[in-house]
Amino acid sequence: MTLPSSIEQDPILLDGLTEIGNIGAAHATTALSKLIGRCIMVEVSEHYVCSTQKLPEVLGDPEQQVVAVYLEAYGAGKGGMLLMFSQDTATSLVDMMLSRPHAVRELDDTDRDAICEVGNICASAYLSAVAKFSGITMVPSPPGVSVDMLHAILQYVSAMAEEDSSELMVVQTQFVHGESSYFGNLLYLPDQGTIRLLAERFRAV
Amino acid sequence: MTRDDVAAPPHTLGSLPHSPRRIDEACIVGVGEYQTLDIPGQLVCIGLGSCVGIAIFDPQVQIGGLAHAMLPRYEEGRDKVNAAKYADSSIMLMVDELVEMGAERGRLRAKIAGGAQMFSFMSSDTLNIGQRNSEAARATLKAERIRLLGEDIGGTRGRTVTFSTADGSYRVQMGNDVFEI
Repeated sequence: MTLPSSIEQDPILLDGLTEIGNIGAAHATTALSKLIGRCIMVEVSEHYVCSTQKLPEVLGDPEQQVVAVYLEAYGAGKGGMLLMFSQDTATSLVDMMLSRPHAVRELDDTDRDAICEVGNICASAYLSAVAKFSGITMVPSPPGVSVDMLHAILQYVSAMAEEDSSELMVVQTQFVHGESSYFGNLLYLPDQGTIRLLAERFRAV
Repeated sequence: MTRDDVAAPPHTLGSLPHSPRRIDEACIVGVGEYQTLDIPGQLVCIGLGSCVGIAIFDPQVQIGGLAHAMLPRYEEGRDKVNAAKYADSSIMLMVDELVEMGAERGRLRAKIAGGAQMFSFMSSDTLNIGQRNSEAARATLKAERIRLLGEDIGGTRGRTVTFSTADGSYRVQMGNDVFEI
């Protein structure tokens, strides 16, 4: 099943998705900023359609190591949420959270647990903001964390989404912190039913 | 016309014997696709997570293929158009194609890798898609009577695999660990 072009070209839905991206991302960054005591900003929030099969290849060097937290939304609105950081960003996030000087290192078990919690807090803030805005119930699942190649992580996310559709609507947010241009990436992947539900809600507003 | 007269398609650039491994000459097999080669060459699956990389080859004539399957079974799947997505149907498609290219069905051998569980705790993935993928691949190979020479499946880490049709070698890279199966 691909996205019907009527939905893909629906200006109300597309505006609504922009709004969702902004609102969700704003809440996620506020939560993250509070958690680590630094100001995190939203750099870009955008959305695009991508074939489920191609998703693992389009977001950058497929073999780069990333730290990812994945969870799913349950309730009336379903979908996936993926938060990704570079290894160095992830460890410095943990150090900020624990207010200690940053040391370059591989992620240990404490780091993984901490980053899992960061993902959990961000994604929950994002989802609850979207749920409040759209009036569609969305409850986050417990998070899972993985440190691996970007391609392997996205490919898992694709395989989960593939059971629903051959095409994905990706709502992507990039975070920045201070001068550094890249900080992290958050993907919200609503499923087909949720997209339809959102389109209905937006039209009713 | 003999096989030698047929120009190799552009994606089947073989590497010279004893030359260093060149990634730019290797053909990358995308998610939910398979590729076959009837000349010595390399096929690569980058970043296999829960997917399985299924290599099938006829060692005598150096004809082989590599599939990058993302879901276990065709009949359980939603998409019926692209059968290469599924472990079971991609094996069947690839075997037919290899036989058509000149491989002998009875001589076919296989090696598989992948099927990791990327995220330690996922509620909707209690059935573990990685494990189901590798089980479907194994079962299909058995049903097709293709002997499985080696496997490296499961675990929690992603793999990049390189299959060479020249000698049937199957190289697995996990982080800094590199080994052959």
